[in-house]
Amino acid sequence: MIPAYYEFYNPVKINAGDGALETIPYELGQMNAAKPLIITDKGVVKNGLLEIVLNAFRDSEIVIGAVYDDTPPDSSLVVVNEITALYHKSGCDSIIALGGGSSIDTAKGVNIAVSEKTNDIATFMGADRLKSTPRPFVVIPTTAGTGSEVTLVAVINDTENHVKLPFTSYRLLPNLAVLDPRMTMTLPPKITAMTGMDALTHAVEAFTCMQKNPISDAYATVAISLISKNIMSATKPNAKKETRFAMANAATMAGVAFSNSMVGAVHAIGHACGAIARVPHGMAMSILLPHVMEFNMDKLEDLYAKLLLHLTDEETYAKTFQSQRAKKAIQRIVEMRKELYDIAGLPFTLRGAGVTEEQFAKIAELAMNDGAMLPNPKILTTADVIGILKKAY
Amino acid sequence: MKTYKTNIKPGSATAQKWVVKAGFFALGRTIAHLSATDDEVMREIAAWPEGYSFSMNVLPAGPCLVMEKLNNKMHFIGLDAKPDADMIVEVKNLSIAFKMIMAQLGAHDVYARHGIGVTGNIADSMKLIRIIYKAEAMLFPKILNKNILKESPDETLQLQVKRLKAITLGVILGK
Repeated sequence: MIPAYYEFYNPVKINAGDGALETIPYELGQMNAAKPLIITDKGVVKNGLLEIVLNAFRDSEIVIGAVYDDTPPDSSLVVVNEITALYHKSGCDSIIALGGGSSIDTAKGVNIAVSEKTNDIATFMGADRLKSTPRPFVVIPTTAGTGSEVTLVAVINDTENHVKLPFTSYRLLPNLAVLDPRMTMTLPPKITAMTGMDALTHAVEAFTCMQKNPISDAYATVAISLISKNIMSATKPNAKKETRFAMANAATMAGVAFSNSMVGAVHAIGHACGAIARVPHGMAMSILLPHVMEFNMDKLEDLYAKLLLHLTDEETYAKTFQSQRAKKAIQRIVEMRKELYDIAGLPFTLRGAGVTEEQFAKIAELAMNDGAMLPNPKILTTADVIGILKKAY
Repeated sequence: MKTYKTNIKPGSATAQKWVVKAGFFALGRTIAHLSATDDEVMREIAAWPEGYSFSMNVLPAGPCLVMEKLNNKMHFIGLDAKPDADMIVEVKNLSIAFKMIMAQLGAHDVYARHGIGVTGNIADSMKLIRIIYKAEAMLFPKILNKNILKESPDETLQLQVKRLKAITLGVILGK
């Protein structure tokens, strides 16, 4: 059903496939940029990915203004300010993020600081607060999960006040996302599994939450098909380039979908599990997804039933009675989690992820006040959240 | 040479604006009443410090619903913007605010239409949305609130008594 009104926006150019990195100098030239700052982390450098990226600039007129390779696992205001100073000192005119969610969010934070000419980006926290034209911004993801290369969101830690600052603005969207198969080849199995399930959750929630629309649905369903068909083989050691590239595409498509239709209760509870019990985001998504789907079942049965086609294949879908399709879709996700546990050791219970029952009350309280609760089609109470946590334990 | 109209000054949706003003007045006074009588609303505002204020502004030129916490209770301050409020919720246009007030769109529908923006703490805005749900359940009978609430409460005698009190004591008498 098409909603009475919806909005969709995705201006990010996507260069994907073999040799995608080598297109960056030309694309920067098109943006009148000549001196980018690269923001990355030590893991990316250690795996030789930075070197591959730098080689892509050979014989071009681009000068790499500076490389910041100390991005921590959680981006912070302090790091954003440090990098902003490096940007100005090096005379840079554009930004390249190379890495996972943290490097990309940090780069978005630097773009806010540079374009808004501020050393306190916290004053721009919230939705639609940015007014200045951002600097040319290229993202090269090295994981296949966050979808940050095509989203309008950044979360930066205020380590002094122990709070996470969310920023949402169309001005945070990169100009270019580069999906090069070489960038995800070194991803360890467990990270591949976690980030893949994160992408699956993005797509499932984008397809079922309240801002859904026909265009985001198209992105979400293709992402689900790609993940369902490739996540197992991509997680195995020595995974083929094709399967990893399929996962990278799926993560980006899921990112486009949820950037336009938002996520729901899986994310709200997952964020709280991360904040209280330090459960990695993708792991929390994987654990919670089927339990929240079961909770939402009475409101979303028809949509979950449609997902069975994308989570399995035409034959399975056709052979399954309409009344059983939604349940089978959830069952398929449960089976995927078990397989990922066998292949990569990805836990499928909160207990296995290190959460204790004593933490449930705090997790539930925090989850209730998470912005992702609002687009969830079914209202949740604190008791509902605790019920889900118990089932996932 | 053909002449064209230039410098066209759009008119004002005066009637819609007055309906929204009346709706904000009723909503504000209902929230104030519930903040002193309803356990769930009292729990929601408990974490807000004394003097905490929010302003729900309809863009581009109002009206606005401004409320402030004083003596552990929310008070309806008025319909003019409070630029220094702790939380500012911006409804992007009058048409959306009108549909909210006329029970055609719920808070989640407005969000789904990208119709609101928040400046301030997101957790506080989630509390405010739950408070608005509660107030709407008081102001509108089930036949109307089923369109705007994710889950409509049962029309029990207790709810109807609470609604009567909210409308007479809260909206009309401002208590």
